[in-house]
Amino acid sequence: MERLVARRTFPLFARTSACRSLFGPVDHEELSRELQIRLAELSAEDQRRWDYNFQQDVPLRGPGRLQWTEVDSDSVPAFYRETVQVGRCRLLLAPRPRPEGAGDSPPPAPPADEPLDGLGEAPAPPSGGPVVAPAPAPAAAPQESDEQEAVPPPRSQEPLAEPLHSGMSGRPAPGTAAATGSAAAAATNAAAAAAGGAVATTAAAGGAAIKKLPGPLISDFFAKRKRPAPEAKASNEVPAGCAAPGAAPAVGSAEQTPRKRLR
Amino acid sequence: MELLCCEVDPVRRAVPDANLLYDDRVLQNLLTIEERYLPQCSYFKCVQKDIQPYMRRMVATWMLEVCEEQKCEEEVFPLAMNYLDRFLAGVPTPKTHLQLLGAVCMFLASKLKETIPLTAEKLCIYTDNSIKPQELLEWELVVLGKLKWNLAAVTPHDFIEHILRKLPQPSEKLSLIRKHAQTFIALCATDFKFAMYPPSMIATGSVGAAICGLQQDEDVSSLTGDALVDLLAKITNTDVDCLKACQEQIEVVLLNSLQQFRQDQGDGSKSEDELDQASTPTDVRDIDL
Repeated sequence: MERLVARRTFPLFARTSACRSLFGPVDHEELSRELQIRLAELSAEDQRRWDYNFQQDVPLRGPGRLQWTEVDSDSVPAFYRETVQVGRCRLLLAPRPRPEGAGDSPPPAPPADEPLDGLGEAPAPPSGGPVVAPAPAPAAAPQESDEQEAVPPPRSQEPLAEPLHSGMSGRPAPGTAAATGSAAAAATNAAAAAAGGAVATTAAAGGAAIKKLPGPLISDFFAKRKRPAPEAKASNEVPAGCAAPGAAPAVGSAEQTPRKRLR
Repeated sequence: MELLCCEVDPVRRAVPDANLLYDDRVLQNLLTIEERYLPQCSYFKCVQKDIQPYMRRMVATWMLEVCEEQKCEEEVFPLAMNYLDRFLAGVPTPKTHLQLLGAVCMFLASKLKETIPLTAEKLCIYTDNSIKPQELLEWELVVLGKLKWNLAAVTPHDFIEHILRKLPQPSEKLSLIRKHAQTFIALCATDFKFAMYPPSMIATGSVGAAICGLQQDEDVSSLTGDALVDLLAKITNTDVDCLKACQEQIEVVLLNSLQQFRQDQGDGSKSEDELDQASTPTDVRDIDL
């Protein structure tokens, strides 16, 4: 009760001695410059860590630590595929192309049904076969970056509170997309899946769902560790927490959650 | 005007989970992982050029005041200080950004630990509007990134119940011991000396200091002196000498803060009522050393 009273009386909030500026006025421009520097650092760190250009949404051309491979959405569990929030329901985007362009209206499909559903239907479309991560189609790349530039602040890849239907920033809602047939997205959490040292299994849904997208998304690729054993060992030795900026080996360590190491 | 229904206590708390408290694996796991959340270096020497130790104390004192005034959960303040130290151990920061950083750390810790978290607007008011809510939100992302989103740090509070459970204290004394130990933990978080200590040692030292302090007024413990320290050291696998040293340091910090408090009281800058309302126990003055 006490707490609620404390928090609820906010509009009447009386200024107490705790309301004070400790170190003088803040230079907001300097603060904003510093912010951009730090965000750029984080963004570069992410790029190094995942061998992936998050700004343009393409894997880096190797040779790096990771090798990205495109995989088909039907080969992975439903929770790796992209979903859309509609009201209070979460709908899976249509995972594979349908004749007559039925993909325009993604049918409500609870994730639990997905694997079964996948078994019952036609095999994967040709576009979804596992391939070594290709660079995006030459024409596609510039268009992709145009899209990125339209987004005001270059705040790394974090999809922050943008009022979008889809879980990805800057993507058109599926219903409004034009019908072409490129590989479309699946899970947004490729990064999280790769974290534990396992491979990131993400899927490229065959075609129908997000058609306007010219290039591949991060979720179209599959990260494979080239040197699994030494890498994992090295990361175990480094304690998590705040690694020194730019310390490459620590990058892998921080993502390892305590629970994973204990079991 | 807002009407409040006072019949229901809105802060609903889960009952202590025996599965967590009475399984020794939980304590052992906490002891295994706690070091991972310590700041990587003593940053005043190697990272920070602008920030001095007294500035950390200033921002910590301010954060504690805000947490008390907002009746935050006990863990919020030590957790926020853990974020602050870990960030400062990696990122050189000018002193004019230190208060913003402190606000961001409280914002994050409150969100992690509380059902009704502090709002960005409120925190900005506490900085006397020297920062804007938008800036707080932007820097939240930076702090999260630099901490690698590793927010569920182990704090001394995580050990308190595990330690108290193993002490041969009469249960009616436990709540008083707990309250005093929590005060010591908050006190330790304001002092940089303790920033590199493992949380289990701070917790053990705080419980020890609480019992020793209370013992002088009333009989709270059947174990005292060396026997108590030995038992405490065994519970958290802490070296006995380290623990003794830690407990002594805690008592010194307490004495200093008591003196500070008496000075403040002499200045009349704080009324007794204000302090009594806080849920983070501030009644260190009750402890007689």
